[in-house]
Amino acid sequence: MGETRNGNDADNFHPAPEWLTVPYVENILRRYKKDEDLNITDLSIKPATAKGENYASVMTRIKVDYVLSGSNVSETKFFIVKTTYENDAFISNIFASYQASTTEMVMYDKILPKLSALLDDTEQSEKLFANTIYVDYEHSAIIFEDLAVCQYTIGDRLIGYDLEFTKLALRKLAKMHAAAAVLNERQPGLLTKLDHGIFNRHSRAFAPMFENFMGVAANFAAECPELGNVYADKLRRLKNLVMEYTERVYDPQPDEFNTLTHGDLWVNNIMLREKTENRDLDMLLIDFQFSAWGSPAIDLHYFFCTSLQLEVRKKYLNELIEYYHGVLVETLRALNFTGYIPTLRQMWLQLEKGKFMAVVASLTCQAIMLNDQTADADFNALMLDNERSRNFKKVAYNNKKFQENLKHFLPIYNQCGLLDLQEWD
Amino acid sequence: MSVTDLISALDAIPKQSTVVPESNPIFLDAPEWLTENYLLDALRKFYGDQKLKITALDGCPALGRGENYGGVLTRVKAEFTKQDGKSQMGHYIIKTSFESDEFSRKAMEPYDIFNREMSIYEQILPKLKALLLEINDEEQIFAETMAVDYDRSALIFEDLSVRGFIMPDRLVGLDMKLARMVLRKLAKMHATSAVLNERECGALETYDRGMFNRHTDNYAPCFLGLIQAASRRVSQWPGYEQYAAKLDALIPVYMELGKRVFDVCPGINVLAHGDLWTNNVLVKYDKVTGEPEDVIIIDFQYAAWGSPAIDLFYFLNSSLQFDFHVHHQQELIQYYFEIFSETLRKLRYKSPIPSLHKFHLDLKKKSFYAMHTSISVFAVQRNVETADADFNALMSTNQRAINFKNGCYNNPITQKVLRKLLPVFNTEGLLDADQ
Repeated sequence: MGETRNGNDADNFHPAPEWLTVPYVENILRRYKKDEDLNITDLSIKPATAKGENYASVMTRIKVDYVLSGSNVSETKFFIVKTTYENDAFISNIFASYQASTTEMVMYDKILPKLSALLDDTEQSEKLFANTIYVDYEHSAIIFEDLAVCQYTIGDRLIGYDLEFTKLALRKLAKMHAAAAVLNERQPGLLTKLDHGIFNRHSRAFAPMFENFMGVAANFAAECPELGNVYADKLRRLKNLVMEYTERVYDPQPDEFNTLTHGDLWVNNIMLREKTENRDLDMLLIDFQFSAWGSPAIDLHYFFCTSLQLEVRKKYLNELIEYYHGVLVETLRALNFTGYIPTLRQMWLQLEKGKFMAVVASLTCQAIMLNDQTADADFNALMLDNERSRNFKKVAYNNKKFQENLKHFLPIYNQCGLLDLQEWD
Repeated sequence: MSVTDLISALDAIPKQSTVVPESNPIFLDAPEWLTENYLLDALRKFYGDQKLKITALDGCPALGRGENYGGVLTRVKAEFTKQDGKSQMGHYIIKTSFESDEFSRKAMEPYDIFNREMSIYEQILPKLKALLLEINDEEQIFAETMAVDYDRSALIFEDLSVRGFIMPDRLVGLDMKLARMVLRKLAKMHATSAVLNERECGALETYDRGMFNRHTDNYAPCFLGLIQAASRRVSQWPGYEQYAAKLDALIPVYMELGKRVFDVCPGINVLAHGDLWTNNVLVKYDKVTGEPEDVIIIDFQYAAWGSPAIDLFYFLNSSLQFDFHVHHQQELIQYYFEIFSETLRKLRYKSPIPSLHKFHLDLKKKSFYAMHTSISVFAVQRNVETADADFNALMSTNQRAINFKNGCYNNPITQKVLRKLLPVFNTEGLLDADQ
């Protein structure tokens, strides 16, 4: 009845899942449209993830033409199917230790829809995420609406966001954070049990990546006239401490404001739709594999250090924090939150306390994100310590824009004592 | 807050030094108890030599930019011989309290500034010096105390001007080199005070009457009046009306926020100087190159036990040239901290020495004081309209006082600081009544 067409852009793309068949999709669509007699007339499947664009999961795009029961008219829907990296045991094991796919499934299945529902009751209502179509726990797959057909794309990670884009992302983030704090208040424990962020107290499987990057950073500093051996020594000394120090940022503190963090908030995890005559710029947050309960400092530092144009990052950080805080508080109040609402000063201090996250994001994550040499850009290159991966990291550190960022921000981090040994709190 | 130099700049009537008559007092207009015999007793006690004899004595009022508002300064030069028969010269400054108007006296009274300074010079500073000597550090931080007389509220210490120390220009502000020299001394003073307090089981913690304290609000008219004057000025600038409104909204909570800065909190605490700005720093400049060689810290009337932030934010927000004030404070704090922590370590400080980051976080909790200093204290200290500059004008709320405070905000440098820093403080939440 229905045909499948497989768009095989062979070598540069990850293949689509085998179980993604017409009967399978038909089943899901019947459930979603609440129409048991719906029929698929055409199914087109196209791999959507290129090498270097996404390190942890595989995306497949489907276009499905169908006819509702009792109708002649053909309708079309576009979905994205997101599955995990199934064929590589090395990567699968690492991500399994972070419960990455489970977390994301729970998010799309149970949590994000509830956050949206909470917001919909307020004046602050706006769309924050893609709608969930179906979550398939057995296949570890999430199916959600394909935002590309509504002209949503990923921003240019090599350029980064200007002030306008940055503020919009923060507005979305603040509303998510507020809604999550409220959801947790109303259903205690639902969100606090998510504790497998990129840094957590259960798995250090990513440690080789972060530690090796610190080593590369140290070597870079040694050769860099503006930095030198003082920095090199400090960074080298941090190599074996980077996991512990960042995990401390992730430990929720009882006297701070905590919420459900996105956990991996950067340009590639935000869908954006450009402004036109008829509608405003819009953004939606995607990719919730590393969401965890904790301080907003996690998301804010990560985002600031990976996704902003340098000038924005240099000049507007304080204004951006103030802006984020304003939306957060406004939304919390609109949702009648009765918990602790930090003052602007308290939020500022909370961000200072978690600022080691900025060090890690600047030295590691940003290197990955600004990398424009995609030849060896895959997960193995990040995680292993062989010649190929060492070379990849070195190449990433050769990136001029990245170096410019480092030369500006490392001295600032150094002055705050963030590159020094910390005491045990 | 020290109103050092406020009075001095105006009605300074030059007085001539007079030949000291053999009879009492040592010069005309000196306090009546300040006689040759008095000095003889002091010198004999200081040198532990009852056979000491004064062979020549000369004294005069010490006026000019050195005049400290909180007292009268007298300069004395004495030639004397000790037991060994050798002749020696001693140069001293004698600092005494003075009979001010009733209003000022009453305002100052609960701050107890005269007794405090005496007890610090007598009991504390010599011990801090001894601690440094323990680790073979001979760096001089303060003037040497010669004698302390509680009955007469008098302090005698070495006259540093003889060694070439002068006050830097308060209207210009310090550069990085000078700032570092001051911070170096400050770091050692703070570190030794922390160690002294540890060894003497909390003895320094009784110093709890800094400029903001939990015993009195007497200086409130000064602080609040300045903020109101700032608000009036700032409200005239296009785009700055919002900041004026925020300053006004701070008034009801301002004193409480200031007190929180001085509240003793967990973390490392020290004996803060309490009034550390250019006029309480003496600098020795190289005669040939004009480069600063050394600095000495003076005037401990407002010393208080608490966070190093009290001194760091006050100094860095009042005494630096514009660019350093705005952009280089973090760097200077890091410099201070290296010496502070190193000195603590050398002295085997027993309590945990914080990491720089922890220290940075603890300081940031007191950032209200940075805002307070930049917005109000700075204006007074850089004031160029000295016609009505006195303690009364600071503390009162009458028209003269209002005019004086308004005048403080006429200085273009002060305006530049406000224009630059009000938005910065605002985004950091430091202008919010709810901080």
